[in-house]
Amino acid sequence: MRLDRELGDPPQAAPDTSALDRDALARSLELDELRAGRDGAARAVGVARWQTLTPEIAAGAAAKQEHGSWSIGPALALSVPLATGGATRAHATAALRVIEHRTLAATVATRTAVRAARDRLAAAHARVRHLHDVVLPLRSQIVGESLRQYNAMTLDPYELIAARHDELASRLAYVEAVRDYWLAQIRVDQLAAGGTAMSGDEP
Amino acid sequence: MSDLTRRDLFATGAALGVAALAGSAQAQPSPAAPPPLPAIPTPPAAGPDADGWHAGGSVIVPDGARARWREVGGVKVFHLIAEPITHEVAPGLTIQAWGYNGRTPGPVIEVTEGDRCRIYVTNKLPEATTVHWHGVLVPFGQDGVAGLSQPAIAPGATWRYDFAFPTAGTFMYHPHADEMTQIALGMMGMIIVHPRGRVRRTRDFALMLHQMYIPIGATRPDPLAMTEWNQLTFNGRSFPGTSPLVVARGEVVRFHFGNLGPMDHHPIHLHGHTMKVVETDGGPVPVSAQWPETTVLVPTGSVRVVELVASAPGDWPMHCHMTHHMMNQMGHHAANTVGADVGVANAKLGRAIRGAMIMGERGMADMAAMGMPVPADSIPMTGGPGPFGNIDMGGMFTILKVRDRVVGDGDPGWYAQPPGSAARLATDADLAADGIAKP
Repeated sequence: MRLDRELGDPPQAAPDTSALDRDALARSLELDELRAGRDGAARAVGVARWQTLTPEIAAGAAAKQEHGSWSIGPALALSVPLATGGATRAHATAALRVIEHRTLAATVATRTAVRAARDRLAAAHARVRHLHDVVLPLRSQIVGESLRQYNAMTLDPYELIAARHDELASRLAYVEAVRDYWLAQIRVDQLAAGGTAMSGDEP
Repeated sequence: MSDLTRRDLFATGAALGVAALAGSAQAQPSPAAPPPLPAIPTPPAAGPDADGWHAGGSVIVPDGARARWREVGGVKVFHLIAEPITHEVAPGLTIQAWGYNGRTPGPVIEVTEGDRCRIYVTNKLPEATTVHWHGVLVPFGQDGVAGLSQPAIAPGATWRYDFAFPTAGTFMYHPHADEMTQIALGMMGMIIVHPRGRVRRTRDFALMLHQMYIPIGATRPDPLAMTEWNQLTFNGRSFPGTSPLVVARGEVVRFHFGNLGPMDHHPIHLHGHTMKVVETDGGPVPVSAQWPETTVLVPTGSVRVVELVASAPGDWPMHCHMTHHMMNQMGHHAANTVGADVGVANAKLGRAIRGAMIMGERGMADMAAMGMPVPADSIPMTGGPGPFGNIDMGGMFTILKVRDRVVGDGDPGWYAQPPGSAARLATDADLAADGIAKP
């Protein structure tokens, strides 16, 4: 199989992820949603507090028959908010706390995902550079020296082929390292653009 | 401390002597050339240098040196310094060895029978050493065996040995402390004791034989090697790094072979001549016990002094006849592909590894001349260039160059063969005339 485009070599310098934490927190869609929900919940708590201070008033007419005659008059009911008002406020406050904890949890999860993605990218970069700068040249040198030793008849053909096999294995490892690097870069880009932490982000 | 090299000797203005052929019944007259005028180097007439050091004697030490000495109250004083050295085995192969006075083998100690000597030994090695005077009939206390006849010489210490050389002959010196390591790394030297009185004029060559295992690409010989050797040397040098042995036709030539290689004996073969063993380190061989040879076995730990008359002009190989001792550093891990059809395997191997090819399917000679890249500081299989192509030799191989005249020191170049005297391609007319059918 042949790909139309090859993956580019990773850059020489280690990628700069110093703004990732800030960007990820600022642009996270999940955190945006939670923050909006938290604002709503906070307002609901305010409403509930006002409700507890406001008595329940009922007005109307009342008629009653007494000794065969009807008397009609106005009626006024005034509640004393001793129990029902507390329950409403507690419910709103609890709802706020829930969403605040959910926001905090999502923030922690996002920052964890950021740290993991950043570390994974740095490790992928270090591995790919090490393979590129150290292992591959050494493997090529080993094949060259093996060829010289083969020419000097201190290695048999199979040992020479084994050296070449090891060189090819290192090149395959390099290709996989390049792939891992770009996957790590993609995850970093996703988080910087507001992506949500998910399972698999854990370090 | 520097030792006099052969070149220095000639530079000091040594006269070229003339050796009489009279009494040399082995000399074979040349049909074409005029009677030769052999040139045998004579000891320098000059006395000691400003510091009182004499330059040594007359023995030629190809690629080596003679130990210098000074006379103090009738005693010849020498100073051997055991030390780590950097040594070139052949162009392209430089090793970290141990030796004496900056070289391996150490300088030849050349004295005269009966000389009283005082030999100082300074140990600059990282471990203790001694010097044993191999074959010399010394008093027990001078025998140089660590732990037995003396304590070992500690690093940094300088000891002195005092003894006379009671008999003429060719001997050796080497450590008798951790011999396995120290000899393997190159610590050895030759001693030549000339007889006192009237001496036959001969051109003497001192040649120490040695073997090492130098892992290809490494610079340190492996002292633990016991069966696997890959570098064989004359005076620490391997062909194509061995300097030729140049003699004039008609000269009486002596080769003083000393073998301090760790494990192997060397059958030294000389082309174009016959030779006789005239001495061992045990003394002279009676004439009645000598017989002609073209190959003389030099066992390890032994000296063989052979004598011949350089009768035939030419460039004559002299080498150990063990074929693996005529190779350089080659490994032995190649598959045997001689005669195999390796076309398919070659194509696949070349596709998998650029520059790789199956080797040896036509024999090994191509490989020496092919110039394939080999590890740094190694000379696997390399031969040397000759007048007719590559000389597929290495290791314990050198060339005896016999010329009608020898002028000065150094390599006279390749022998110019008289026209019509060399082997040649057979012509159709040759074949037809002798009734040889081409297969």
